[in-house]
This record gives sequence, structure tokens and C-alpha cells, in this order.
Amino acid sequence: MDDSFDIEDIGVFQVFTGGGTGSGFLIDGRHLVTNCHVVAPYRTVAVELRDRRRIVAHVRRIHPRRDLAALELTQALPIAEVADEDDDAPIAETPTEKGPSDAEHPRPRERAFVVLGLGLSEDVRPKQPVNILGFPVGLPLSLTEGVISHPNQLFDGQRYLQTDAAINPGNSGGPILNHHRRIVGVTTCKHARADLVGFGIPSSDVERFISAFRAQEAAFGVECPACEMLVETSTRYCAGCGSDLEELEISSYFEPPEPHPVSAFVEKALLHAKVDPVLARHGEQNWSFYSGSAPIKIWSCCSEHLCFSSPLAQPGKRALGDLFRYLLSPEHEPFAFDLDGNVIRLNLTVHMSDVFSPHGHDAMASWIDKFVRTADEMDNRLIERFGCEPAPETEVTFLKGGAQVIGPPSARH
Amino acid sequence: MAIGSLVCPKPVRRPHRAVNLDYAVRDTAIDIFTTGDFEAALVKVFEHLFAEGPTIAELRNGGFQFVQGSSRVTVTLDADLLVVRVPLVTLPEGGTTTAALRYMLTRICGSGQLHQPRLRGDDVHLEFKERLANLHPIKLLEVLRRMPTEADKADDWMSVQFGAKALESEPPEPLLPDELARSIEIWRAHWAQVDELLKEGQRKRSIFFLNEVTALARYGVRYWLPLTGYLPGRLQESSAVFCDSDVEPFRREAALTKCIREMRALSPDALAQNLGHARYAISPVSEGTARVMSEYLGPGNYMETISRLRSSGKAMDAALALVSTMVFVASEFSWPPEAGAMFEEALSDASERPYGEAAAILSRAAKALVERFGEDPDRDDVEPAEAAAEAG
Repeated sequence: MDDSFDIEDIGVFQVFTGGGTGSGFLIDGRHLVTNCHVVAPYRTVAVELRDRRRIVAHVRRIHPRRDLAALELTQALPIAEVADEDDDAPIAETPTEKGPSDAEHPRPRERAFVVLGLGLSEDVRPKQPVNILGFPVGLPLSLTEGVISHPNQLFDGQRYLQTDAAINPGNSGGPILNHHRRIVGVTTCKHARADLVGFGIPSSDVERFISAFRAQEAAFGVECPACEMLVETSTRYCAGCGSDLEELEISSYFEPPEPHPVSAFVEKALLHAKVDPVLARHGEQNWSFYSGSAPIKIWSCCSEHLCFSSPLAQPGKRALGDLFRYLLSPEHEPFAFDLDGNVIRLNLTVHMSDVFSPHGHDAMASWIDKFVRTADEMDNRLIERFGCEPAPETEVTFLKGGAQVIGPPSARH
Repeated sequence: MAIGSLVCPKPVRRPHRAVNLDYAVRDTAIDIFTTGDFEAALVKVFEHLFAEGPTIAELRNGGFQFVQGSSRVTVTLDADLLVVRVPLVTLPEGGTTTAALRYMLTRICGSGQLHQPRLRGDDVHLEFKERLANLHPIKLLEVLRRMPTEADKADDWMSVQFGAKALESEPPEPLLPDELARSIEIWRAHWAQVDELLKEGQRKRSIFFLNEVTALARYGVRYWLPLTGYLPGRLQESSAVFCDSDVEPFRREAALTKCIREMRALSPDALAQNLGHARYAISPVSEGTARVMSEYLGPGNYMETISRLRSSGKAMDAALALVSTMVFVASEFSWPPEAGAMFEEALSDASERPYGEAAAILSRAAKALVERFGEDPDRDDVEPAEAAAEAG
């Protein structure tokens, strides 16, 4: 692989749902491919860009057996180049949409992303070096190296590329690249009882899936696990091969299950606070989003509590006594601050009894709304009044000027 | 010098009173709350926790107070706002103020808890406020149980570490002279014994043995002595490392060595300042249930391991494991007086006996405790029959 390989420009993004996170790669400016298991049973998911903005994507096609999904972004992304099969130019040198205005505005330029072409999985050989791109364990975009252990391994009744490159939760749906930066496979899983035994869906299957998707007119469809005909509505038997689709659990893709009461409570409250819950989802009973400059995290820490927390700033070097007194002041009720290491967090704890008792829902929704607004205002206040530094996760471009606006650009209604 | 037996003295600490909470009353409070009669639900919550809980009028006029260790808890009702407050400390003057404030923000504040410290002037209180309509009984019970316990742990610690002045703290009942003399002797013997056992464990290089020594270090002293003041907090801080089986053994041993050295260096006067019989309106430990007794002392992997140790010539390991488990179960849960007496008698009988004899005595006692206070082994046979009868 070329030394100047700049992964930040490549169109590989983290995909967020209420069930977990995974990776996905652009096939053009509007569409991504990922794993079915990354998005199912959700029909609407979030895709996070490099500047942490998230945009909504609709699941258009899934292939449950081959574990592939095609997503359509609600906002097209600028494309730098569609890599040609014969083009070995380093990605860092590919032209991007730069302009003179970049120097005048602090807002980062709109990054243009490279769409990688598909390679031929038939040409893959044992010991051939490969790179895996993705978001392992929720970390930023990472590249791992390895070799092809077997180009056509039979595992669980299907053929896979087998590799010894490290595959971790969060890598699913990301591309496996050859040394010409062609996609030869899509990361899907690893062997549960072995180390360094990972599997990818061969590019030949991915190519067939993408071709079928490009010809698709229906808003959503599921490929029949038996005959690969597109099933567009919930039906018991496949019109093509007669397979019992209920037995194959296809109906669940058309009728996503009811959300857990905790999820329903949080997402209703987020809507009340004008935050798009789809963009905030970050795995099971876990949400994360920006309120202006302030990151906000929501999670169930135990069976009794739902935690809302916003890492706002880090104490400066002076007047710490005044800062700490301010943080402990009763004026912040019902919220409270704490220090997590050296990061000042604003916290709100909701008891699960409030989730399951209708009496408190309105009051809690008001608190959550106030929490979202307070977090965005408070980091500015701590920085301006007490000389604090932004927290590592603070979205500094939204400090001050963007403080009145709730949510990152993509989360605003 | 290897030790030839384990010392298990008669405890000076008074046992926590057995909890006889009426859970039907709690469930009634929940039912009433769901109907929207929030004041009646509130009264029922107090009735569940206290023999004589306050009326709504009492809560509105001056409030209701109870003592939980060194914490004095005040509950007041202003219109429909319930306030639970525990005075903590007055901040120190001078250079330690910032450290005290940082400690509060780091260790006492936090996500995932309903109460929070609030600073008014230089006085810090732990506080919880909630409107009655949002005050589900389970939420209030959590606050009433957890908040004073946190305050009880923090006030003395802050006094010793930062020179903060405990605010409206409830002093414990002083020990009688003979209790104090015995406590000092137990303290010395306990840490000397733990020191020798740790050395034995290092020789054996056994994780099982290390686990049992660290458990004895932590829970033995809690079972035998009525510790108050900052010592419980200090011990908890150390034991968070030496009792953590996820930490590397050498780090656990180092933490325990340091703790032993620190505790053995404590003067009798300093120890005396951290001893006393504290009062608790709500039991500070969990309720001892049949399931708990059977889980720790009943048939299962752990007791099978002890049995194997006894039959394979490792009587010392078996005796140590039984002592550490018994002091844990006896000190961390509340039990009826009869069970408390059985624990005390068994440990007393086993004290200073050869390991084989001690293990035999404690094994018999464990079996007797489970038979008397553990789960009924036949219960599984009964329940389906009852269910079938109901269904029919």
C-alpha cells in the first residue's frame, strides 16, 4: 500500500443505529454499502462524517443471508474521484474541492470523498496483503493490515475471503482493500473461538448486490435468502421460489419491533428538545449528539438510572476555587456538575421509575430539553468566565457563535 | 514465622438490627402513587422504612429527622416539593479549600445518582429535591437509603483529609473502657495476623489464598470492630485495590502491604477516635435473606472447593476461606439475633484451633446456618404444585 495513503479522504463512514455501530463505504455520492447486521432491523440510520456531523440514511435494500445492505443518504456528499481500476495514484494527492474561501472562514471546507472501486475477488491469492478500513470498537477511522489466509473459504455454508487482519466490533460493513486500493471484500465477522480468523464477503457478491440495487425502483426491498429475488412487501411466501419467508424471519425487516420503553422515553424527550433521535442513536439504549458545541451522551448506567452527561470543559490554571464553588452552587438544580478526571461534566440523572410512570413524563421532558440547551450555553460560560479550556470532545467551531442553535447542523429541524 | 492457627475474637461491634421490612406496604405505596394520591404514597413509604413514620403535617411543619451513622437526615415538604437534606461539612479555610472542593466534584458528585452536594456559603449539604408527582416510591427509597450512607462516609474523610468541619454531625456512642481496650487488642492482632497470612500467601503463590486473605483483611475488621470516622473510608479506598481480583496479584499484594503498615502504625488514641457505636435508623447493610445464606455457605462450587482443600491436606486454606466468608456474610448483611449468635459462636470455637479442627467446626456451623436460615431445598417442588393449583 502506498505510504501516502490518507484514509481520511476515503468515503468510509461510521453507521449508527439503536442497536450498535458499524462501518460503511460510499459507492457514489448518495449511497453506501454496509452489512445487513449493522443496520437491521432499522430502516433509518445515521452516518457520521469526519467533522462529526451526522446525516440520515434510509436502508433501501438488504440481503440478510449474504449480510449486505445498501443505504441512501438524505444529503449527497461531494465526491473527489471515483477510483479507476488502473489508477494507482496516491489518494492523498487526489484533487479535492478547495477554494480561496477556505482561508477566510474558520468553518472547515466541505471535504470531498474518494469512492473506491471494486477489485476482482477471483484474483485474490493467499498471502496477498490486505487492509481493512473501519471503526473498531467505536474508535475513529482506523486501518489494519493483514494477508489473505484463504481466498474462498467455506464457512457456515457460504464462501468468504478469510484474513488474519484484526477485525473488531465496529469494523463490520467496512471495505477490505487490496494493495491497489480496490475493494476485494466487505468485512462481516470473525471466528468467535479463534484469533486472527476474520471473514469478508467477496467483491463478486458485492458487485452483484450493487448492480441489482442500481436497478431497483422500490423504496425498500429484501433479497430472498433462497433465490435472491427482491421481496418488496411483507409476504409469507417468496413469489420467485416459494420459500417460507416467515420461517426465514424476513417479516421482521418489514415490521421493525416496538422500541424498548426506555428508548421510546428518551427519543420522545429528544424530539421535544428538537433533536432528531435517529441522528442521536449510538447503540442499544445509548445516544450521543452535539448541542451546538457541547457533546451530549445518554445511557443506562444500571437498571435504575438513565444518565445524561455532557463533557463541557477542562479547568484552567487560575481561580479554581471560584470555578469549583460555582460548579457546586445550588443554582444549577436539577442538574449537577462533576469532574471526570479533569473534564467538567454537566449531569442529569433520571430514575427508571420516571420512565415507567406516566406522571413524570412531561416534567422529565422539560428537564431534558433544558439540559440540552444548558449544556450548549455552559461551555461558553465556563471558558469565558472561568478561563476553562474546551473539553477534548468539544466541537470548538460551534463555541460562541453557534451556541444558540440546538444540535449539530444535521440534527437541527 | 508461620502462624499455627487463626484468631477470631468475640466482636466488639454490635450487630446491625435485623431488617423486617414489610414489602406489602411498599407495594401499596406504589399502587397508591399510580392512582395519583402522592401524599398518601409518601406516608406509606415512610411506614415501610420506619416503625413510626411522619405524617404529612409533620413533614410540612418542621420536617422529619432521622440519624444514619454520623448523618442527620431532614425531610421536609414545602407545598408539593419534597426536600431531603444531609449536612456534610463546612469548608476549611486556607490552602486545602480547593482540594476539598475538587474532592467533592470528583468523588461525591457524579452521574447515576439522584442526590448531589450543594454549596451554600461555606456549608455543603447533600440534597435531593423532587415534586411529589415525580416522586415514585422506589425513587424516594433509593434516596433515603443511599444519600445518608454517602454522607456518613464522606464527612469524616473530608475532616481528616482537608480539615473541613463536620456539619451537625451525629457523634457515635463512645465505647466502654473494656470495649476500647479489647478493640485496641483486636486491631493489633488482626493486622499482625493479616501480615503473616499475606507472607504465607506469597510463599504459596495461590490466587485463591490471596483472595481469602484480602477478604479477611477487609471484612474481619468490619465484623469485629465498630469503626467510625475516617478509617472505614480509608480501608475502603485500599481494599478497592487489594480485594479486586481483576488487578494483578503483585499490585494487590503491594496495596495490602501498604495498608497493613499504615494500620499497624496507628496509635491507640488515633484508633480510639475512629471507634464508636453508631446509630442507624435504616440498616446500612443489605438484608440477610435465605438466598444470601445459601449462596455463600450452602452447597455449591465454593463449598465444594473448601471441602476438597480439607480432604487434600490444605486445612489452612480451608479454615481461612471459611473464616473470611463467615465474617463477610455476618458483617455485610443484617441477620436475626439467633443467626448472629451462631456466627459468633462458630468463629469463637474455631479461634486459635489447629486448622483442621477450625475448618471442621466452621464447616459444621455453615451447614447448620444454611439449614436454619438458608433456602428450603424442597421449595422448587412446592412452587409448581401451587402454581398448578392456581391455574386449575
